[in-house]
Amino acid sequence: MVRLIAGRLAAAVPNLIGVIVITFILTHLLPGDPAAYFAGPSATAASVEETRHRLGLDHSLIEQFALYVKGLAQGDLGNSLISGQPVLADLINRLPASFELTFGALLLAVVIGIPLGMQAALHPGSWIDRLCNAISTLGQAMPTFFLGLLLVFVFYYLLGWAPAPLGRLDSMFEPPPTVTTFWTIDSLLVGDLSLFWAVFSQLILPVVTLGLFGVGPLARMTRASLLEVLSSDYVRTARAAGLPRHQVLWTYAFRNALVPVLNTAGMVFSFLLGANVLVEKVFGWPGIGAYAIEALLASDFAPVQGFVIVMALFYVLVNLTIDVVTVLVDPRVAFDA
Amino acid sequence: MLDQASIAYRLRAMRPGSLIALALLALLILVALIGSYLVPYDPLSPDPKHALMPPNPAHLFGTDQFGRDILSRVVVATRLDLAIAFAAVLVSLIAGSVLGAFAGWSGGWVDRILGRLIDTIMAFPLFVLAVGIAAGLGNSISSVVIATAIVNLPFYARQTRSEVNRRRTAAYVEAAYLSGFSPLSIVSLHIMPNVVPPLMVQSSLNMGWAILNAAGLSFIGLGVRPPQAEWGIMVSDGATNIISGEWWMFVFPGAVLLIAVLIFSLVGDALRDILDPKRR
Repeated sequence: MVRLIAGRLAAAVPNLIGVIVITFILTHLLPGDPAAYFAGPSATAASVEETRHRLGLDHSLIEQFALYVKGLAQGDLGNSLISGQPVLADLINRLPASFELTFGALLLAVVIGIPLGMQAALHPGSWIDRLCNAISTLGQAMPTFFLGLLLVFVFYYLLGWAPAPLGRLDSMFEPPPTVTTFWTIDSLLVGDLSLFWAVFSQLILPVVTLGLFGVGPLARMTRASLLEVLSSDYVRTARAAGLPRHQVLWTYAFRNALVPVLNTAGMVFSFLLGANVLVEKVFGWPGIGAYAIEALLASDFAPVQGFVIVMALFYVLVNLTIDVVTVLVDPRVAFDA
Repeated sequence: MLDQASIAYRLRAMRPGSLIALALLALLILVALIGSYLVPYDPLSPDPKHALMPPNPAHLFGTDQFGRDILSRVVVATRLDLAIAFAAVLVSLIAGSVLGAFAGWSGGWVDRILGRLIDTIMAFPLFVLAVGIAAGLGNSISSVVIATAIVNLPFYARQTRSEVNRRRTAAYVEAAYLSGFSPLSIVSLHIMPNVVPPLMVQSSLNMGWAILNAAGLSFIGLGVRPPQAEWGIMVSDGATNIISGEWWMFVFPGAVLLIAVLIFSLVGDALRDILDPKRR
């Protein structure tokens, strides 16, 4: 097991290097002279030179890359011009909000998508199969931000059921003491139900918006994978041996059907990380996506690059986790690799 | 290769839904081409006296905060949105298939480098990478096109690579090689015609995704800038007016965006039925 994880870690290294090289290239795509840009509009020629030296822009590209990697290793992602803070500190501050949203959405997608796909596979051609198909077709075509705005319009403006789409918690409340950084869990830990409800009600619309996009792919993959497994010889044998239906389904079929579903979950996660940016903007969510957009509009590029690299590193980590879970579910996979 | 008779046969055997999808696509393209000559109002000129009017006979989709006619803006935006997506898909189709064909034919280190590059692109959440590229290239329409093209590139490169690689040892390819054709002409004249149909299906499915990607980028303020009419920006404009109940500002451009993407994904399915009926 340890050897396996080490192997997967080693396999992730080239991806990490690739991610770092690409983000470095992105830094150097900036139009115009970055030194003049970072020195500010009122800079003199001398202060531009001084900035050029401070940023290491007077070195060769290779040396700059080395400096960049050294900075990354020390957690230095530069400073934000708008907040004046180190980008890393800003990102760490805002990560929990994004994580709570993304993981909530993934949980919702899994809880709805997998059972839906299973029902569709068990009853092909039924209404639930058609529903599954319709959801995944519509989900592919629906703009994330449009769905979010529609939900806000219906559930906040028309029905008044949801709170205003203005962040993680109504300003009447104090956030719970930090334990897990997920406010839903933290508020339950201190036993404050009204606070939990306030947090939960803010969370529900953004999570539903984001989560619905995971339902389609997960349901479709579960359906296809389970259908294939159900028509296999060993399931036929298990049925012929007279095993009860639920045992055939859960012990024989489901676990075997799960590997492609897990890989789809990884893809869904990647999509959710991207769509996060749009959903955070719609709901005024104080996560790292909204932070990157704010910075973008102010032409403050260090936060945008920090955001891109943190997201990419995080995604590499997620893929690693999925690889490991896949082997736990189906040890045969380890031998293929 | 498909011959014409079998294409004609498959067209006749097509599901009615596919025909509707193709008809809708024709309509969408028509709107993109001539829509700007048909609209009742100038999409850019403000009319403060008629600002924020709900849908009515004079303004079927209502007006925005500057009194511009939303129907006219939505129609005119069709050309820009489709053009951005089309340009992006075309760039990634051409670049991806050339790179993929090269890697698939030559194998070896060329193949490994390309594979590594593509894995690296896929190691990013794609929309996040698109944001990074578009931000890095500077805020313009062409950077949105390039960003969308780059994040789409892996799909074309991978597919072309595997199709070319699979055919490299086919009998007709070896025959062509022995007849003295150069590798370039074998790949472009003998192999690529077989690879194009699946790439077309991919492109159509991809068009929808490219439209969403571009609209998403302009929704967060990258690329197209106001006052230019573009669906993502119009939805973003409308978002601020939801709390005061002016729903028509975001609903109409958003719904048209949804329908346009839906048309491309239905056309992609229809194309797959025609070109590759086995996978139905």
